[in-house]
Amino acid sequence: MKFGLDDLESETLSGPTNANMKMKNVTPKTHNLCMCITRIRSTILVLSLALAGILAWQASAEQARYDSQPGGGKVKIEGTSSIHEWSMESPVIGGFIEADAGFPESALKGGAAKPKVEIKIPVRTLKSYNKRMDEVYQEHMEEPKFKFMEYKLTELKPKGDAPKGGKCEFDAVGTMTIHGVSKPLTMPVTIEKAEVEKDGKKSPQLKITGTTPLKMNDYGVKPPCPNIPGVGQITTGDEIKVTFEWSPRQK
Amino acid sequence: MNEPKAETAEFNRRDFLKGGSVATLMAMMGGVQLLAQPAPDKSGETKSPGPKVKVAVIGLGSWGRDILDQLGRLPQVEIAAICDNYPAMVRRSAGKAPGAAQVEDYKAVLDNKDVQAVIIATPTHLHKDIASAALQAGKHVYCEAPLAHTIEDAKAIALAAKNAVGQVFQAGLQMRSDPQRHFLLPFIRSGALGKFVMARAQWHKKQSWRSASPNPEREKAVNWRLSRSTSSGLIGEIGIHQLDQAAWFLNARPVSVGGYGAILRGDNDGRDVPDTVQLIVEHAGGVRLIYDATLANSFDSDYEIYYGTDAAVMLRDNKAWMFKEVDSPLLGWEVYARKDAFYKETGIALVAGGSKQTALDDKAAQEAAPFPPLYYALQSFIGNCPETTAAVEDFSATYDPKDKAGLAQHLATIKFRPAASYHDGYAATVLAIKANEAVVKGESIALKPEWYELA
Repeated sequence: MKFGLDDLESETLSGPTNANMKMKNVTPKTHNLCMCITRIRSTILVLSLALAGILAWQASAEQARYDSQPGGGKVKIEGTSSIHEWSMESPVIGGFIEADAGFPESALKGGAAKPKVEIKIPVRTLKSYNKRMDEVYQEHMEEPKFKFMEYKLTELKPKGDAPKGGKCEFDAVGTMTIHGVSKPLTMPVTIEKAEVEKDGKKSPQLKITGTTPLKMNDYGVKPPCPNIPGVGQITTGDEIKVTFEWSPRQK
Repeated sequence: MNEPKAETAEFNRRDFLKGGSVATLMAMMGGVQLLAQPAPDKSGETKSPGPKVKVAVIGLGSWGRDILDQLGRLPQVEIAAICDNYPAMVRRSAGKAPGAAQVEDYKAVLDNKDVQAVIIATPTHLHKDIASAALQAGKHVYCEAPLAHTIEDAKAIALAAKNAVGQVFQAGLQMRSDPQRHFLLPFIRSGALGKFVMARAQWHKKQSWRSASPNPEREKAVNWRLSRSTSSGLIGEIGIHQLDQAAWFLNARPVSVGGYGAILRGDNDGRDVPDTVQLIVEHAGGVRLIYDATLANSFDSDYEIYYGTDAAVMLRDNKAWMFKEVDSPLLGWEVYARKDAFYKETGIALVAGGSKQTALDDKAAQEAAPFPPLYYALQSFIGNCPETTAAVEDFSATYDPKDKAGLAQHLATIKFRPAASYHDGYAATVLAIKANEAVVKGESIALKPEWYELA
């Protein structure tokens, strides 16, 4: 790059003066050389500052990964029928969260990096402990064909700009896939972070809780109407309520 | 006036001849019956059996053949292979398992990827090698009780089962799966008997236990029950079930066992295993079980009685009766229950989920559990195998497949069908082995807690 003397005239940057450059002989040639070096130095300085800035930004937006742990999740589904209410539970929630080190608080402020959340639950793990009911459920979910229920987060919309009692509240906007059918789903969730100790090692763990209503028909699942010996045919309500608690942990 | 009398007498005789069973005899003589509803458990029954569980049976003696009979009643079973190292036994069992591969070497069965589960019904001293290899091969295992002939071998099997987290291991204590026992357990433990006083059990059946054989080598193999080197005798082969049941119902660990044994049948065939044994097992808390078994006399067959300060409960023939003390508190329901007179006592029939209606219904009383305990034990095993496999698959798809502790924790959340675990089998085997030792030596042995430890 060539800098003209004109540029230097308007230079406000306190560059080298003849004095501090300890130039013995100031000639146009040496002056140009000085300025070039100065310019290069400034450029390097600016670039390194910029780079440092980028790195610093990366560090604060450093991706932390929280993975599902066995026993660290539970899902409950409640529904209705013509004879009585029913519920099913699963102790298995699989998946992960990738978010920055300041998550979840950082997500309350706009402009933070979006967390990546993927959840999957094996259909078979949802049980009512009435074997016949579990069978009917698996038949209607076409279990061997669709083995998992999945959720992918699109966006976390903050509710409030500060945590309440350590808990951050959001509206989670994402896609739910059940029975092979994907539908957009928005549900309120609460996220908090704690440090837990396992095997003598401390690591951050998130706790996410939430609840949402769902309709079976939305996902192509026909509400079962099985024939119960001694009672007759019963019908199940289309609407169900899903409640979950999930605690993925950093390794 | 005379006619009605004669008629009553006729009726009783006819009934007696028609019944011909202990139950009919008891019902006529009296005794209040405790019984679980004969109707099959509807919540447990599946509409479609689903994919079949491929099972192999190793060991085709009389018990192995009984197992084949019961397996034939389970729709979700496919008997993939039958195996015995004596070809004649294989041929004899072939009719009970049409389509099954007929094999002589158990290793071939374990190498067969199709076989998901194996049932081991060989002579006791041969269990260890087969069970260990089967667990190693990734199979679900049902191993007959007692697990082994020595505590060392039993421990090896139990530890192998403990490590095989994703595989089913069921010990052959079939009473632990019996719906009648499961019905009685909470009743007995609820304190309906008051405080436990003692227990009594017996097993009497006049039989030789000696089997005929074409040559001396086979003779030794087939009569393994009659030699101390390979058999824990009546206690190991028969008593173990009743001893285990007592500890289970009393909810108390056995602390010492003392006994006597003698060879009194007069076979003079070189057997050194006592054919008549008497045993006293002391449980933690001071409640003792008095047990006797003999191959020399059949009178009164087999039963178990639990005595308490308020009542006694007798289990006989898969039915049960309760005999209340005069001064025991009224439970209420017994006002409607069927009562049968036993000699001078009155026994009250307990019907699970019973109403006044069922209590008065004689027919319901006659049919207790329609199937023998072995059927329920196998049903539990066959039900638990695919459930376990599915749970392991789901766990591995979600978490780290190598996380054994996590897998064990996950399996603990699942409600499996009732079955004797490796731990139940091991504890019962230790008790049986030591009890037999006591009988053979004619002394009392304290049961050390470290024998029960599975590191």
